[in-house]
Amino acid sequence: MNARLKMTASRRRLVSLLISISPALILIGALFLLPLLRLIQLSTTDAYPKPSEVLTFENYAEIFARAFHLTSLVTSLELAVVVTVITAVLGYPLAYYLVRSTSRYKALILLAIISPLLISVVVRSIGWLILLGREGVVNQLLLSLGLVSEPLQLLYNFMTVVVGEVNILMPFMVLSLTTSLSQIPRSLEEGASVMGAGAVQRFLRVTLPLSAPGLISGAMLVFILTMGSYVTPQMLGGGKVNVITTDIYSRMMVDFDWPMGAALSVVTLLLTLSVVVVMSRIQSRLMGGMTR
Amino acid sequence: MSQEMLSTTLPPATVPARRGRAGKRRATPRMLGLYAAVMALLSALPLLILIPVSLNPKPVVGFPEGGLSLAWYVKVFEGTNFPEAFLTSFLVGIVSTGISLIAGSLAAWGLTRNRFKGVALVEAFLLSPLLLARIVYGIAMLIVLTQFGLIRTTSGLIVAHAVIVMPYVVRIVGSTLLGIPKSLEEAAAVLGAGQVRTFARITFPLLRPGLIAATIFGFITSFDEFTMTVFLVGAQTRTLPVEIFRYAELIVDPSVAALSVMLILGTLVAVIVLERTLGLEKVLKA
Repeated sequence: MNARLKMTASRRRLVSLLISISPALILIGALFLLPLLRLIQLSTTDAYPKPSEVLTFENYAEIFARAFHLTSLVTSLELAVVVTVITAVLGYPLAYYLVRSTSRYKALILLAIISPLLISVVVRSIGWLILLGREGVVNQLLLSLGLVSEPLQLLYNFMTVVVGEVNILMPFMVLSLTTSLSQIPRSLEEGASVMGAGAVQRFLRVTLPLSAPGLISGAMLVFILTMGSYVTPQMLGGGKVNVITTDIYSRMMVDFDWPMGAALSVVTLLLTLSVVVVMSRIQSRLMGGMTR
Repeated sequence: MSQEMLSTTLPPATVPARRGRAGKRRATPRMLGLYAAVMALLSALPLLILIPVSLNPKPVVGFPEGGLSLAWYVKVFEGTNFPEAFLTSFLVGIVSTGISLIAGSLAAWGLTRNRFKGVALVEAFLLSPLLLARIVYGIAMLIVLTQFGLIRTTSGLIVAHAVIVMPYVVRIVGSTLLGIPKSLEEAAAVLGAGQVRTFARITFPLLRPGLIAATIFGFITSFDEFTMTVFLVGAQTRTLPVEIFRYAELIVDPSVAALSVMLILGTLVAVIVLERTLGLEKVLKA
C-alpha cells in the first residue's frame, strides 16, 4: 500500500514534469532541430527545389576549391581572432574597474558599455556611418580644424569592421569577466601585495589565473558571435569586406543558390561548434587544475 | 583563511600603515576610472551623435547650424514605411514573447523543481539556440518556412522569434526560481496551504520580478533581431530593423537619426523597468 502510494506520487511528479517541459521541447525540436537537419540535408543536394542528385558533397568541395569562398572564410576567421584579442585586452581593465570601483558613475559606465545588448545593431551602425562617413562628423571636425585637407576614407575597410564588432561584442566579454572577477576575494590580492608582490606580479600570479575561466568563456562568446555577425561587416564594410556571412547572404538572396548557401551555413556551424568544444576543454582543464 | 594568515604572519606595526594607505587610496586607481569613462564614452558615441543630427533643420547629416528643428521627427511618421514596420515588429515581439514566456516558464519550472536524470541534457537542448549563429538559423528557417508556405508572413516571423527568445526566458525565470528558497513553499504547505494556494500566495509573488524581466528582455531581443529576420520578411512584413537597414542602404538622413533617437528613448524606459525589477546586470548575466 505504502509502496503503491509512493509509486503514484513519483508517477504524478513525472507526469507534471513531462507536461511542464513538453511545450518547450516541442518548440525547440520542431522549429529548431528539424530546420537545422533540413539545412544539412539541403547542403548535400545539387539544386533547389528539384535536386537531381540526393547526396553529393560537391558544394563543400567547391567552398574549398574556389578562392572567393575560401577568402571570405579566412577573412571571417581573421576578423574573429582580431576582435576576440582586442575585446579581451580592452575589456579586462574595464571589467576590473566595474567590479572594484565604488564610484557613483559606475552604473552609468556599465549602461554605456552594455548598451549594444539593448539597442539594435542596425541603429548603432547608423551612428557609426554618421560619425565616420566621408561627409561625417569626424571628417567635418578634422577639416574645420585644418588637420586634413580632404576627407579621410574612414569607412568600408577591415579596421572599421573591427571597431564596430569590438563595440557591440564588448558587453559579452565584460559581463563574463565581471562574473569571474567578482568571485576573487579582495584579501587574496591584498595578501599578494603584503607578501611583497608588485602590481605586475600580483596580476600575473593571482588575478589573471583566477579570472581565466571568465576570460575564456568571454573569448569563446566573442569569437562565435563575430563569426556569425552580418550587420557590421555589411553596413560598415560596405561590400568591401567579404566574410562568410555576407557570402551566405549573397548565395541565398542574390544568386538563389540555396544548396551552396546551406553548405556555407553548415561550415559556419561546424567551425563555431569546434571552437566551443576546444574552448570548453581548455576551461574545464583549467578549472580542474584549480580545484586540485 | 587569508584573514587568519595575515593576522598571524604580520607584525602588528603594519596594521595602522595599511589603514592609512586604504584611507588615502581609492578603491581603484584614478587612471583606471579615466580609462573606463573614455571607453564608455566611445561606446555611447554612435548613439549620442544621433541626437544633434536628428535636430538638424537642414537635410544634412551633421551638427545643426542656426537653430534646432523637430521636423525630421514628424517626417518619420509621414512618407516613410517606418510606422508600418514598427507595428509589425511590435506584433511579432508581443506574440513571440508571449509564446516563449508560457513555454519557457513552464520548462524552467519543471527543470528547477525536479531533479531527474538527464535534466542537464534537456536544459542544454532548450538553450541550444543561444549557441547557433543567427544567420545559420535564419537560413534553416528560410528553407523550412518556404516549404510550408509561411515565408514572408507574420506567423512565420513569430515562430522563428519565439525560438530565439525562449532560451532567455528559461534562463531568467530559471535563475529566479532557483533564488526562491524551497523552505518557503514547504512552510506554506506545512501550515495547510494547498498547491494552488502555495503557488498563488508564495511562489508567484516571488517569481513576478523574474517574469517581468523575462518579458521585457524577450521583447527587446525580438524587437532588435535582424540577422535571422532579414531572410524571413517580405515587402509587407518588414520589421523595423530591416526597414531601417533598407532605408540606410539608400540614404542616411536626419529622419533615420530621429527614428533611432525615439528607439533609444523607448529602450531607456525599458531599461529603467528592468533595473527596478530583477536588476539589469542580473538579467544580462542570467
